[in-house]
Amino acid sequence: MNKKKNLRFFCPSFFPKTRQGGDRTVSMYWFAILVIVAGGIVYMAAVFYGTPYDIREIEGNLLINKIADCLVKDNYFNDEVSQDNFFVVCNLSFATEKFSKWNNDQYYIEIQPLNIKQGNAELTSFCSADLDKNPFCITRGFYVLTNDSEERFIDIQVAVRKTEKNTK
Amino acid sequence: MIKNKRGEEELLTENVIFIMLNLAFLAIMIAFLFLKSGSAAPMEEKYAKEIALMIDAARPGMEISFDMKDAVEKAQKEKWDFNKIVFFRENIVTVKLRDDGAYSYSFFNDVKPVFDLNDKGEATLTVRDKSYE
Repeated sequence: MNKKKNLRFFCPSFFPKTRQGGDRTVSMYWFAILVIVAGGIVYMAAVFYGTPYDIREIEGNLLINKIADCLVKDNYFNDEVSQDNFFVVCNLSFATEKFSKWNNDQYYIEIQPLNIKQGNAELTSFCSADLDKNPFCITRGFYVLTNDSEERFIDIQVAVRKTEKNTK
Repeated sequence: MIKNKRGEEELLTENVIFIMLNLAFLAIMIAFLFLKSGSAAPMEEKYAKEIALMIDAARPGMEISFDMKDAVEKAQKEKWDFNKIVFFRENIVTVKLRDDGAYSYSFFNDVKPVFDLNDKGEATLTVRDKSYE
């Protein structure tokens, strides 16, 4: 009899049944539901707050805008820009913080037909796969007038990695 | 409390315990979410990335004002000097709201940012040319 009484908690209801015989009691099943709900909320909050803000798309667009601004001077194509002086003329720096295995190799830009290529060219190998873990890649083109008033099409490709700080 | 019948008394006790446990559970959940959302680490990340993007989007000569009231409050709670919340090293911005942690993020715009923050949380970011002294 006593043994049966001690195991009462493991029964659907550990409070004695009401006079009406109902099971409206605090049971281990109810605690199990509470634990599952609590676990779910904790998991969701951890996932939500543990996922970093992914700003690579904004960074990529800003970088393209910055390069486009640099390639156009007084509404005409800026022919001062070349592979050798790109960073100086465009006021850019691809140096990054020391983090994970980063070695100032988190960006890549390619400007055609000027044949300007700067940064880590390997990043473009991962551009085709649209996965969060891959670098963010973006390509944009625009027309600009040269000093001879001819149209010139400029194509800019940008890849931003920084995966460890922008994805989980 | 009316205790006219034994069954009704038991029912009332059970319901009170049931409601109290529910309330306790809800309170713990809300406290957990509140603590999670207000912790320093996500705030550091948010501000470091925001400032890096502001610098990337800015041109020399621009002055950007924004609000960092919650960060200043958090730093004061953590007993961290609000003048040391944001600092720059080369083209890396670091936001630090506590003694044992910080968040850094790099920006590609090669400019000289100057940051000013007062105790009310009013922040001003001035972007200057690299050659500016």
